[in-house]
Amino acid sequence: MPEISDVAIVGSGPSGALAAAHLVEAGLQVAMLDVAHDDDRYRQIVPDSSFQELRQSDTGQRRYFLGDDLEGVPSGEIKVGAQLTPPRQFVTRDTERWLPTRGDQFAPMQSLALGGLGAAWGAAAFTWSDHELRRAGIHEPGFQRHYEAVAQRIGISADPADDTSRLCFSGVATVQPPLPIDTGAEHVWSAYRAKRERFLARGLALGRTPLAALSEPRFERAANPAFDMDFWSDSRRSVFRPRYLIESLERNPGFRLVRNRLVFRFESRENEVAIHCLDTANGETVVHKARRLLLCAGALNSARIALYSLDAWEERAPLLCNPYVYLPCVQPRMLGRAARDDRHSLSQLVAIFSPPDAPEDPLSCQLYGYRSLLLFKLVKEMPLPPWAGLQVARLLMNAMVIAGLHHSDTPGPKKTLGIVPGSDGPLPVLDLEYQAGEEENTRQRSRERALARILVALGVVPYGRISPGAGSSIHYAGTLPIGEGTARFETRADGRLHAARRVYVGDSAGFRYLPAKGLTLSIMANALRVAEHVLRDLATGH
Amino acid sequence: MENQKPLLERLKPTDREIRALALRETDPAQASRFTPIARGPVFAVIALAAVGVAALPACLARLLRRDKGAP
Repeated sequence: MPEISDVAIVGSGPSGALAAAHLVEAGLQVAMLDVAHDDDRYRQIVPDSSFQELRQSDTGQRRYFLGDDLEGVPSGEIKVGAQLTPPRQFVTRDTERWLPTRGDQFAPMQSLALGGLGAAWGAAAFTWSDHELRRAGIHEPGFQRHYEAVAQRIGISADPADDTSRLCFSGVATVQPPLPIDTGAEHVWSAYRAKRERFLARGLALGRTPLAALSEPRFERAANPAFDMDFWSDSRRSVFRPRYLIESLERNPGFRLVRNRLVFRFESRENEVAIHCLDTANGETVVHKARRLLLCAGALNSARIALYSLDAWEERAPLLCNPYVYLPCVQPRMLGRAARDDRHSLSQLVAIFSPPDAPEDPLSCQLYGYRSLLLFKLVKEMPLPPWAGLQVARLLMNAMVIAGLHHSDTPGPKKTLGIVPGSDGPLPVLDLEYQAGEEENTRQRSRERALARILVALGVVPYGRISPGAGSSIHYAGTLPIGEGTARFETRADGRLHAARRVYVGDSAGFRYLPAKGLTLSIMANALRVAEHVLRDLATGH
Repeated sequence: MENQKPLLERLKPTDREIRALALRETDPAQASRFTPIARGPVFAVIALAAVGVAALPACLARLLRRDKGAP
């Protein structure tokens, strides 16, 4: 590897991994800079077995279900990140120290892990329509081929013929058959099929959730074994994780993963970019050089690096994040009934609800079962003594459904971030504010109520509404938006920062709008789009 | 401070009780006490009502105890 790489990529998450693969295969020398924490504690000790078997027989289960320090037993109020099981908690390790934030309106989850937040991705893989890509600012003729390329690399199981496909998974030919759904979801599905036309007339389409999980063996990975362990381990590598791609790239001499690198600043010089990093192993500052820099550190951290590098201390950049709430529901039809144990734990079904007042701006609802999460977490939220709560949880467990709702997001005057000097470490503190307008909140609540009524018709009865607060969807974007360059932190349509000739943004920081669907597949597709522009830029000989 | 919380919040188990429950739940010898109960919808409805009635005295006792400042 030469002293100066062709491209340095900051971050090893979904966008960084996909962009790196594209650039390395094009023959470039690529250095990936990341702290790259990995799970050195639990991955090796979770047996290759089903949740039910482990619960009944593994005497060592306490270690990975609760954690060595009982970190899997939440205390106090539920916070962002509380959903991470002990084997996933490495994803957020050291972020409070190294990626400081302030502001009580927005609680983000950030990552310094190998694979970034993609190491805990729920695997829902949605495409965006041309209209949505245009609003986000990333549309180009033929954008669909990037989705196709991502699907070929990561493997997606989906039903391209169901009612939601045209709304959230269209134009992708390389798909595996959908994973089987669980007993509860089968009842919802049959209720939908029985009155399909009526539901469609009310604006609701239901289908299998497209998942970045294999239903057939491929890429040295196995089909999902239906162990119901997907929140606890990467069973047989069925669900895509960016580290699989990085492992394969490390066999290529054109690629180098440089660990323990916390990038905090860049300098765009005449012939190169100097990238200033903290070596987190020894606390020293290190400088890497590259002909181009590709920021894939996540929308929040890419903005932090860019604003700091541009000395933009006084400027406020936009901040987007899908508003997220979840509705705990009971499925009366499943009350007291047995359910199959062989299932996956990921999203079972997705509903796309297009309200009559804004059919072009739907909200999405993913349905999950509760079976592979331990009962004490349920009992914790019940206003009952533990013994009574436990019996209620046992009676309700098979009938419980969690409906996770996402709304779209657009920029607003009180959805912004900026940087302020930090007191510890080289990185500035991100100052975050996020306050939706009253009208926006009212509209969202009204849509949620309309959707809840349709869920009842599907046999899923919501009995509460939990809003974990702004930032909880973990869908961050828009912090270095594609624009005309009126602000220094804006990027051009090709992903290049207006204010830095050799610096590109490959993650969701460029998106000007967030549809109400998961963004990970679009982040990866966009990373390929930007990587193509980087290639073209380098090929012109500058 | 405790009696300023909403009523339903005050009835929720303490962190200590949840920790104890979590330790029991991950003991394979006690796994059968944490499996789903699937004996039909009628049984489920009756059992839910019975648990609710049986828990009432314990809920009241818990409220009184917490109002006096006990954990």
